[in-house]
Amino acid sequence: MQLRSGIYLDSNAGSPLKSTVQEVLLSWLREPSIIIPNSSSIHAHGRRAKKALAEARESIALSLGSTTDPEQLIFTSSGTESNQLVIQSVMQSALDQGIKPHWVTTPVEHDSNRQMIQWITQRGGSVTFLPIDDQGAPIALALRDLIRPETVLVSVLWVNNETGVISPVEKIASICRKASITLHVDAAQAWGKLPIDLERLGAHWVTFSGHKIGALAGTGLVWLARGQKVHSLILGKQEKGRRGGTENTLGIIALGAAARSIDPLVWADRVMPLRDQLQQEIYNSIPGAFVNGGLGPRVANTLNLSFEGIEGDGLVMALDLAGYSVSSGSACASGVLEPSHVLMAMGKTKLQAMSAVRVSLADELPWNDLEKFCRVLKNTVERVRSVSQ
Amino acid sequence: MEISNLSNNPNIPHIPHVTDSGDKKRVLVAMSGGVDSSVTAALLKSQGHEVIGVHMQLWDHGQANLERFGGRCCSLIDSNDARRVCDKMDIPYYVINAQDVFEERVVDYFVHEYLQSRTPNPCVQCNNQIKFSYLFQKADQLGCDWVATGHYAQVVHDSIHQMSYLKKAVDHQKDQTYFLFGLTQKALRRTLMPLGGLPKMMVRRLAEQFGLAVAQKPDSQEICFIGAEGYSAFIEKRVVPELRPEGKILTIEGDVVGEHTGLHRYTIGQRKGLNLQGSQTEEFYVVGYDRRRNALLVGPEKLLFSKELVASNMNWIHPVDELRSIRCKARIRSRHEEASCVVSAFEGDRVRVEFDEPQRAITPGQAIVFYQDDDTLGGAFIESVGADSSPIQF
Repeated sequence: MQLRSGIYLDSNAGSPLKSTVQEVLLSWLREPSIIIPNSSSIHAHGRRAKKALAEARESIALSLGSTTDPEQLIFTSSGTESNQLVIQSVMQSALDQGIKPHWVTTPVEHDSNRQMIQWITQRGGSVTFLPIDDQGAPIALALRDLIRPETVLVSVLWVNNETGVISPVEKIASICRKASITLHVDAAQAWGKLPIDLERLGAHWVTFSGHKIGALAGTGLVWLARGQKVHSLILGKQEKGRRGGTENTLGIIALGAAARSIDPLVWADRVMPLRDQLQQEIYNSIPGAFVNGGLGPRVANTLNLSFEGIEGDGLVMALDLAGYSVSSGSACASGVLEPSHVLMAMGKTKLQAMSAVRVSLADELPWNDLEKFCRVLKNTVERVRSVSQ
Repeated sequence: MEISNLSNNPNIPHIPHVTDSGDKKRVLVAMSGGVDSSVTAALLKSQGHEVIGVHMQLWDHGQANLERFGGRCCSLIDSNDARRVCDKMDIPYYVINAQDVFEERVVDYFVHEYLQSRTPNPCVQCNNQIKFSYLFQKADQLGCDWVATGHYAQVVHDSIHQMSYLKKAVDHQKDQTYFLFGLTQKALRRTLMPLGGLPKMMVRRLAEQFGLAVAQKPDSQEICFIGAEGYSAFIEKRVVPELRPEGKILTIEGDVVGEHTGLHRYTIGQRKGLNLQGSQTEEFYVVGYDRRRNALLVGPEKLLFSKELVASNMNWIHPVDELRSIRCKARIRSRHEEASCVVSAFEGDRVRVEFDEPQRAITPGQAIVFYQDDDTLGGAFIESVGADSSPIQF
């Protein structure tokens, strides 16, 4: 239908499947003898699946640093499961020792992380937010003052999914190392966008999500440093007893293919000029436009926009009707747009936080498309403004 | 069956096109997730209009209540039902977050009215204060010409006089004009209510013919934010006990005949659950409140009848000559048999109403809506019973 065929500008929500991923998936789906193999079986078919999984694991490890040990990766169902597996593992270890654990995290984390606040406080633990600067990046130096004797974990988002702002994870890691505190980095939006070397990062746990790098939704990943103890969310002997349930074989194969095809620096060289040109064009043509997090270090593809005089959720709906898929805050189960907690933490009001528009480019696309988008955006902003006042 | 093929189906009654020329327009349809608004969207789509579905999220029942509120207004299930209907029709669907404003203007108002010993009608308040203003703002933002709803009422556009009229639904049992009296000419001019010309039976049949999954979904009946616990418990959860104290039940002569458990728990005309002592109190009804003494007033049924009332926040859908009295009929409750009366201007947005016959249990806080035949003239909120505007005093 005409209304729905539009231009996709929301790759931070889910990146389009990479063509190499599609090819690998199709070749597996066309196999006459097996469709979904179970890698635990000892027969030839099972061994073949197991080999494919091992290869995928190696490809993924390689994309996360040349010395990353494939055996330190745990496959999960999602970034959400990965984050919660990490946080529960560390907290449960502390609780088992009779410690009432203290968790330091930031006010701009992904919702899967925020969900754990209640889990921890219900068990007698406590939570403190690391302050952020005016671009929404956590302030590393403020961490020292927040550390208490019972602080067991620091969790921090590497790249903000809404603004693209990059957190100073290396500085945070060095403070955590000195204080002997476990560090968890949520790298869902960093994978594919920034060069990653896990052994040099200095974190203890790092989490990832498959569909953010052009693999299938339904795949997630945890990397853990040696010596970290896992408290499984799902019991079973898969993944060395750390995550039960038959492996999502095709999903992991797709993840391996996607990991092989990412090249963050080359990608950034292609995408960043387009993003910057779009930003400039919007500044030039739409009065009252403002880029949230625009002064911080940002990944190449993300542009988070607010417009003076526009409040509420009308702009995103109007842009969708015009054929452009952009994102605004996050939608809950019923489809209601919730105001972005990230922008609220950065000082926006509830209605302002609901009206921001996030453009995130998957890869190169013709400048013509973006120029047209800019014109539609200008008209839409003017119309929505005229009825909001 | 494809919805686009239905316009030629002989089983589908003819619904007038939204404009005389039959122009194809962009229409925002307010979708509750029920059968009525779903059929409204399907009918307009079958006539070739560009339809956009919008659902208003007004109240968050929370996960714990998902089961209990299943299928009722505002619940997650309703939002998903509306989404499925829109997916089936291949039309865009958006959910508007109106929770904060709903809590402030409808829920808080509802609680506050009860604490003032008035009996509010939250659905009227929601239509007046939220629903239509939001829908028109969204329609403007999305470039829609019209706003359509699944209400049972007929909107008649008179292009010669540049006027729009709100008429009762042909299915009088289902008529919802009582809840819509707050609509202005400006709003009505862009409003469509295509179901007003259809009996409910026909709407359900249409839903089946359109292949809509909600065809057999039960109608929503009660106030959307009040669950099985009932309205008293809802109010008590939101208001500290000091603001809703227990007190005495008095006759109008001042005799103590019982104890009440908070004035908000009683409505005018109520007889059951009073637990009165004393002789001849079996036939006593709640007839009023003495807020100064925090007392509930009871008495024989004849005290419930009154011929006059004063109402405020008057909205005339029709322009009227305020200097002349208007003879018409009025409804003082949603399920009230309408009664003949004369309306005269009082002051500001107040009116005085004098009925030909005494009316039973005129209740402050409720809406009064005026009709001439099927035409809705307008409405107001009942302020007080009797000829002057002071609160009831016995």
